[in-house]
Amino acid sequence: MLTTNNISQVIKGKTLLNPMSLSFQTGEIWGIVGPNGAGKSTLMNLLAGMSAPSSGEIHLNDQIMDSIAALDLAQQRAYLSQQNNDDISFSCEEILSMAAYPWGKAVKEEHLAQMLEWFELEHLKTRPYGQLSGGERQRCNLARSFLQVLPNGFGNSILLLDEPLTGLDISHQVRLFKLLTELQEEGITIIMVLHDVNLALRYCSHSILLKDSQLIKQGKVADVLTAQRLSDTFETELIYSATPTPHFYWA
Amino acid sequence: MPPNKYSHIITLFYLAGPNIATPENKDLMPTYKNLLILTLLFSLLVIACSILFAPSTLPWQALVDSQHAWRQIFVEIRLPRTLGGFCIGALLAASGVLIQGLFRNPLAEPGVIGISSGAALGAAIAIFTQSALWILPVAACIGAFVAVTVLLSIGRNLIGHQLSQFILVGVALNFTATATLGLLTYLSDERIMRSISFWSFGNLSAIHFTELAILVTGLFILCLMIPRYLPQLNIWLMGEHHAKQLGINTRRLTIHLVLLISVMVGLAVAFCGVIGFIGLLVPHSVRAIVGMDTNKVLPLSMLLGGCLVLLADWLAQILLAPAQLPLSLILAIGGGPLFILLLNKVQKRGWA
Repeated sequence: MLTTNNISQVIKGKTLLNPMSLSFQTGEIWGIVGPNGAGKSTLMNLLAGMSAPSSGEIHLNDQIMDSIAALDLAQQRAYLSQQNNDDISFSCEEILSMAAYPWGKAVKEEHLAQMLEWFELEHLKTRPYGQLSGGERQRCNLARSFLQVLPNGFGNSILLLDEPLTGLDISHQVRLFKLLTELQEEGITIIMVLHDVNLALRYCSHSILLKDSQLIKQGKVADVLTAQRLSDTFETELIYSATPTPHFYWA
Repeated sequence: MPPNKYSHIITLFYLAGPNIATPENKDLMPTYKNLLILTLLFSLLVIACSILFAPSTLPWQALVDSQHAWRQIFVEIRLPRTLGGFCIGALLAASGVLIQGLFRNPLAEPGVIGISSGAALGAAIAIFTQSALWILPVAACIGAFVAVTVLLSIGRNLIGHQLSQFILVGVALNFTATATLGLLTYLSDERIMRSISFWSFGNLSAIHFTELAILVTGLFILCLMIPRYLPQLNIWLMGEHHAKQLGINTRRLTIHLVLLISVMVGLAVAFCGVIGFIGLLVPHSVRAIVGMDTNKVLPLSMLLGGCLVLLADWLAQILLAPAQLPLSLILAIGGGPLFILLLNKVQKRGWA
């Protein structure tokens, strides 16, 4: 369980995030939605404990985030950011094995095999990362994020994914979200930045709408991502049409 | 695929042409363990040859007979020069691996980005002020430390993003340190000038028993300390953000690496001056064979770095005998063109 109490982020006099209080419960899938520069990644950084908030505090399982040792934190949550160094020639397998670092021991064979299967990486495992395509890289990165918290059991873990769909083709997008839905039943907590409102409506249980460093609305996804509010936030006329699936709209 | 009976020949082939290795023929390559054993044996052979044949043949009896006419040459010249040279090569190659890792830049090298010159300047100041022998390595380490720190603080925002600018900062630093070194030689009398100018070129002839003892002790302690940083360094290479996310104290890692690098470069430069290109050529060649894993790259680089220095020293002694050429000259003639090739490759493909 992750809660924030009036956290804000101000760097060099510039407000990146205005105070907001949020609460993420076990087994929820949250989609953070908002225009470019709304403060989505800043919020993710704070939630992941990468930087301390300028004011307010974050609690992870009733512990103050700042007081949790870095390695303990890394065992409880994995954060996949967009800031990845692509200029490397580690093999996919080597990258995955690094996920065991917070645990201080080698990654378990069965865990590794599971991730290679989930993300269809078996045939890529000895290939250098730098030679993979964008989508293949992203699958490798997703796999290492999952592997990082796997020994903890997904039920006790939080996954923070900043635009997890980057580079993924449609089949892998669907595959990923199906996987997330399955893991949700095990009690995993997922917080992700999404640009695809349709997918947020379809797969997320909750949503946060941000604009200009402000919290517009948070709560159940159907309450937050309404036609009117999305049109206002993105200042774009959005056309809604119901498809055969309930709650599934094409914007 | 298990290593086949030709794997050793293939290894030598790869060592001779490191740029040939591609992911497609990776299966042909011997395992890391075999490679390490092979390199170790090769290093011992090179050390033995260097003692016995460089520059002229030493009668083998001198190794066992303490009364032999060549005994003194063996004990006082050949042995310290060979072992010391090997240590220096190992230190330089290892510092190359660490520096490239720290700056996340495959072109970083102590000689190219001014760390060696910083160390040489430190050493030169120690000579200029006519300090005791033990001050020399300390001053060199401090010089190297100042250089890395300056580079890190300026290049901080450029690291990983603007490769060319970062290299430029290092090159500028290199010029400044070298020029100050030159200025110092003008200010000194002839005796001091000779010993300072010797620093800017690199030469193994000053290594005697005391120097060897300091080098071996230093290298031994470093070998005990470095392995624990290698897993973190691997993750650091993936990006600062990822390292932090995985629970690594990136600030502490950076400081520790800077200290280690300073000591390594300082030790290497203190007794034989600036020897360039080892830290660039060796890690790159090794990476082309074993990939990017620092755990594998570092030991192999150290062994091959030692061998390369001994080889260069042998050439330096025989090419214009009886005159001794500076080591940097030998390495730069081969290293300069190779650096350009690497630059081209790095622009296209990144690391290795």
